[in-house]
Amino acid sequence: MKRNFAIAMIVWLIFPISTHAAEIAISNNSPLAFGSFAAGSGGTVTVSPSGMCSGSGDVIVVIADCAAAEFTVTGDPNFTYFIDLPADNFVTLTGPGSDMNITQFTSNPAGANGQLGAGGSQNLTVGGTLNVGNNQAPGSYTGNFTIIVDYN
Amino acid sequence: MRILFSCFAFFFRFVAVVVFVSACNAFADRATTASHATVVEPARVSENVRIWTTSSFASGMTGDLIIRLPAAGPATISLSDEHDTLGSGTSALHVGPSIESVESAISAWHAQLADCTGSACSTRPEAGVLDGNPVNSIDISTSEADETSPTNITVIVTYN
Repeated sequence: MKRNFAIAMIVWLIFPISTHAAEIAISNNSPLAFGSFAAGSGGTVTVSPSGMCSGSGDVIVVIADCAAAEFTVTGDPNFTYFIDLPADNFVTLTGPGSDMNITQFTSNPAGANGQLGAGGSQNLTVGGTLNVGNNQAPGSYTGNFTIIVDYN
Repeated sequence: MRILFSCFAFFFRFVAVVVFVSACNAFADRATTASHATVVEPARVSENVRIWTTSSFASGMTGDLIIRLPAAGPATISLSDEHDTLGSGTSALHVGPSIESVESAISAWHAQLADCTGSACSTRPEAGVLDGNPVNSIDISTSEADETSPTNITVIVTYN
């Protein structure tokens, strides 16, 4: 009896019970690009999940080579999942001048509305708003951010 | 012996609980990607602007022009259809207003470079297609759209 209990525990440890045949996975295809802009007295540059960009305040978007970050989510076909995006001011771009924070991350799909297709995958795009300071120093700014996906 | 077995049993239960909790979250996954931006420093050359004008433009108006000097790719700034004749060239200078008040008033513009000798200078002057630098003058012609706007034009020049 005691031996059977121990064996059962070991089996459970090795093979945890699951309702999913495949673990959900996400891979990145391309980064989030805010393009090139003149800062002026400051403002924002917003990239939508569709990749459209716009400037506000005194920011002038000079080269509109903006792009939303693109991911591929894979897992069990037709299962739904949620997307966890970074909080406001949690991600910064660093460069020759003051750090620039990214706020208002948005995604498509968003929240708990992710649903894998019949083939077990779905494309996910992520945009955000870059906050540009007054007379932001010219140069290249870079940073990283992480998103999390999980089954609903 | 009994005490030892009890300790093992407790240990297994504890581990089982930990593993069970972990298993509940075992399917989450994460991905990290980069983000980047480029801040450009415009060279303000308003003092070099030479206005070729109608009387309405001479009365003055306010606005910005953005000039994009030749680089690797075609221009991407959106202008009205009337003005945006760029896009097909790979070495294009893009001259355009950045605010609507100017765009509505300007019907055509010319931009000239100090060493502008290519065909682009003569064939597409109104689109601001140029193939060299530096910029030493900008000619602007306008319609009679705005006779009341005040002050000057500021020109911002940036490389692609």
